[in-house]
Amino acid sequence: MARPEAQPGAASPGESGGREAFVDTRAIARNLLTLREAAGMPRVLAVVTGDAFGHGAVPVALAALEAGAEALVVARLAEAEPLRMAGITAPIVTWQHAADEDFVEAVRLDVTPAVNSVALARAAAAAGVRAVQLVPEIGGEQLGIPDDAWPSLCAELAEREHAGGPSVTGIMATVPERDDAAFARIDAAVARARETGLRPELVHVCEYEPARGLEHDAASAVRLGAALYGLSAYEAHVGRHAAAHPLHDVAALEPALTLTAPVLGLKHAPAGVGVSYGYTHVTERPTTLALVPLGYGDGIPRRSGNHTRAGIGGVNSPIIGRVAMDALVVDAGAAAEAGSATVSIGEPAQLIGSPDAGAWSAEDWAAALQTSSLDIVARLTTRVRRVIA
Amino acid sequence: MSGLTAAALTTAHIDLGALQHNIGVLRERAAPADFMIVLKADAYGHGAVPVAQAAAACGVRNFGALDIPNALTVLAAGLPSDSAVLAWLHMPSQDFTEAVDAGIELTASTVAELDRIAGSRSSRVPVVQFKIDTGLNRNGATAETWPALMSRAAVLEAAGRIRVKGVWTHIAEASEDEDTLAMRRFDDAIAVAATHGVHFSVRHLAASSAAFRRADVRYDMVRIGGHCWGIPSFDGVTPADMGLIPVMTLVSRVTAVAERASGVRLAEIAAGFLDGIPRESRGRVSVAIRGRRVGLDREIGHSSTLVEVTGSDIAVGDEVYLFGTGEHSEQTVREWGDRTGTLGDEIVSRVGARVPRIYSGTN
Repeated sequence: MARPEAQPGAASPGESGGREAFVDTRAIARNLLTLREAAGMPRVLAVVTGDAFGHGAVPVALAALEAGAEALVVARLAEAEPLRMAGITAPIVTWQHAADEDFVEAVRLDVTPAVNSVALARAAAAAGVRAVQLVPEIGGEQLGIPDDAWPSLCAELAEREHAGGPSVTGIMATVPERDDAAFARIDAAVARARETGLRPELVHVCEYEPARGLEHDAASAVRLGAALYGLSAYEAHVGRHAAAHPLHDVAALEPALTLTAPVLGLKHAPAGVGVSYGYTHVTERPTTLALVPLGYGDGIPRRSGNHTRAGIGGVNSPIIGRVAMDALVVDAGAAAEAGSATVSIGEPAQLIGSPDAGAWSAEDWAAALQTSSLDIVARLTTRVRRVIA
Repeated sequence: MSGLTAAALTTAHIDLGALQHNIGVLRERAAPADFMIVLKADAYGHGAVPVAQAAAACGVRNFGALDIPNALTVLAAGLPSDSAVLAWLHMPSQDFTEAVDAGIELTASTVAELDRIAGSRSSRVPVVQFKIDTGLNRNGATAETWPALMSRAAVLEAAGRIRVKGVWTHIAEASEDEDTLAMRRFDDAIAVAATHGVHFSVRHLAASSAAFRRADVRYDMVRIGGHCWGIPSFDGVTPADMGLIPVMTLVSRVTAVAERASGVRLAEIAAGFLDGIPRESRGRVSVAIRGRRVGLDREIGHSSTLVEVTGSDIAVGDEVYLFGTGEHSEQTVREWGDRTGTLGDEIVSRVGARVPRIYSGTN
C-alpha cells in the first residue's frame, strides 16, 4: 500500500525545533511481526483507537496493514471517518455504540460493528451494514451478550444472513488476565454460534492472553493494542507477565514514539533556590537549570516533577519542581559539569526515549508514576507536533 | 441536557453563558485593573476559538495565547480590532515575521530574542512586552540580564524598530511572603528600566489565584485562566463560594449492564483515559447516574470503565455525568483534582481530542 506522505527515513527526531513526538511506523511494523510470531497466530487486527493512542491513526493504520494486519479496530464510529477519508479500504471494527445508535454512519463508512446486545445487533442489521461481529458475555471487563440471549440471537442472525442480511464475520472478546473460565466461555459461544449455522471466521482476543490461542481452537486472531506500539497497558506488565510468555516482555518490542523539545533557557542557580510553582524543589548545590517547553498542557503529568527524568546532553537528568502547564525545569548540572557540548539553548531535551539507547523511556515514566506506558504516551495532547517516519 | 447526539457517546459540554458569567464576576473583582483571558492549551481544553469569541462578546480585549501558533489561531477567530493577543513562549528557531505581520504582541526575555523580533522581515513595528523572572526560576530575564535587555530595548525603540508596551512576570504562589518578595523584585525591575528610559504602559504579574486574593498584586492587568472555567484555585472553596460556575461538563453513556453470578451488577461507561478520566482516579472519584453517585472503583480502561451498580435500576443508554456543575449530583472537576492530587486545570486540559466539544449559552 502506498504511503501518502513521508517516505520512510524522510523525517528524523528533533528536526522541527519545537515540541515534537517522533513516531517511527517501521517500529510498529516490526512489533506486529514480532507479536504475530510470539502469539503463534498469523491473523492480526490492529487497534488504532484514540488516534492510534496518540501516534496518528492514519499512518499507523497504513503501516500495520502493510505489515499484514487484516483489519483495524476503533472504539467509536466517528473514529472510522479519518481512516476512510485517507482511502483505507480494509475492514474497520467498532465496539462502542450508543443504545439508540441507528448505524447509518456505519453503513456510510462501511464499518463492521461489534455489538454487545440483541438490540444493537438488530439495529445494525436493519440499517443494512454488510457485516457485524458479536461480543459475548464472558465474565470479563468487556460486557457482552448474555448466555441466555446468545443462542436465539445467533439463530436469528443466521436466518437474516441467509436472507441477504449482514454477514456475522467475527467474535470479539477481551481477556486481560489469564482466565481459563473466560476462554471456556468463548469456546462455548463460538460453538453455539456455529450450531446455528453462523461461520464467524475471525474470533479475536486481545493481546494480553493470546498465547492461550495456541491451546484452544476458537480464537483465530489476535487484536494488538498497546503492544503494537511497544507499550504496556498495565502497571508492571513486564514483571508480572514476562515469564509467562515472550509476548508480554515489552523489552522485546520497540517503543514507536519518542518525545523531544528544545532547551529554551539555561540558568545558573546557586544552592538553596526554589524552582517552579510552590517551590517543591530547592537546589541542593549550585547547578544549571534547563527550561523545557513541555507541561501538563502537552500531557506531561503534573505530578511527575521530582520523580522523572529527561535526557539532556546525553545524561538522564532529574525533572525538578512542579511541572507547569507549559514548561518544566530539568536540573542539567551533571551534564553541564561533564562538559557536554550539547547542554545549550536549542538542543533537544529527550523526555521519552528509546530504552535501547539508555534513554528514559515510557516504561520508566510509568514505573515512576505507577501507571502504564500506554497512559503516558496516549495522553500527549495535540499541542505536541507529530512527526511521522 | 440539550445537544447530545446519538452517535457521540462521550461529550464535553461547554457552557459559554457560564464562561461569560465568570468573566463578569472576575473582571469586577479585578477592576480597575484590566483583564486578560488566558487561552493556552486550547483554552484549557475548552476550545480557544469559541472561548475567545465569547470573551470578546462580553468586552474582553486582552488574550493570552502562550505561543505564536495559538495566537494565530485565536486571531483567526475574528476578534475586535482593538484586541491585543500576547505570545510569550518562543522556540529557539522561531521566525517572528508572520507574528509581527499579524499584529501579535510578543514577549522578549533575552537580548537575542528581542533582536530577532526587531529583525523580523515584517514591515510592521512589533509591539513588545518584556518578562522578568522574579523567583520562579523558569523563563524571563534575571536581575543580572535585565539591565542589558532594557538598554537594548531603549536603543531599538529610539530607532523605531520596536514599540515597548508591557512588562510582566509569573509568581510562585508558594507563600504570601514569597509573592510579596517577587512583587518587590518586579518593582525593582521596572525602576531599572526607567533608568534606561524604558517605560511600560501595562504592568502585569498576577494570575487567577493571587489576582482574586490580593488587590496589591493586580497592577494594570490580571491574567486569568482557571477561574474563567469555574475552577477554584483555593483549597476547600467551591465554585459557588466564589460566585463562579463550572464551564465544562463531561458526559458519557452507559453502553452495557450485566449481572454477574456473584450478584454484582455492572455498568459499562463509554469513557476511559483516552477520553480524559485520569487512570489514578480509580477508587478516588465518583460519577453521577440518575442522580446517584457511583464510585469509579475499577480499572480505568482506555475507552471504557466498569462501575458497580448493584441494587440500582441503571440501564443501557443512561447519561453518566463525570464532572460538571453538580446539577446532576456529579462532582466538580476541582473535586476530581483534589482527589487525584492535581488541579482541575490539568484534568480539563487533558480531555481527549476525540471527545466532541458541544457549545451552548452563546448570545
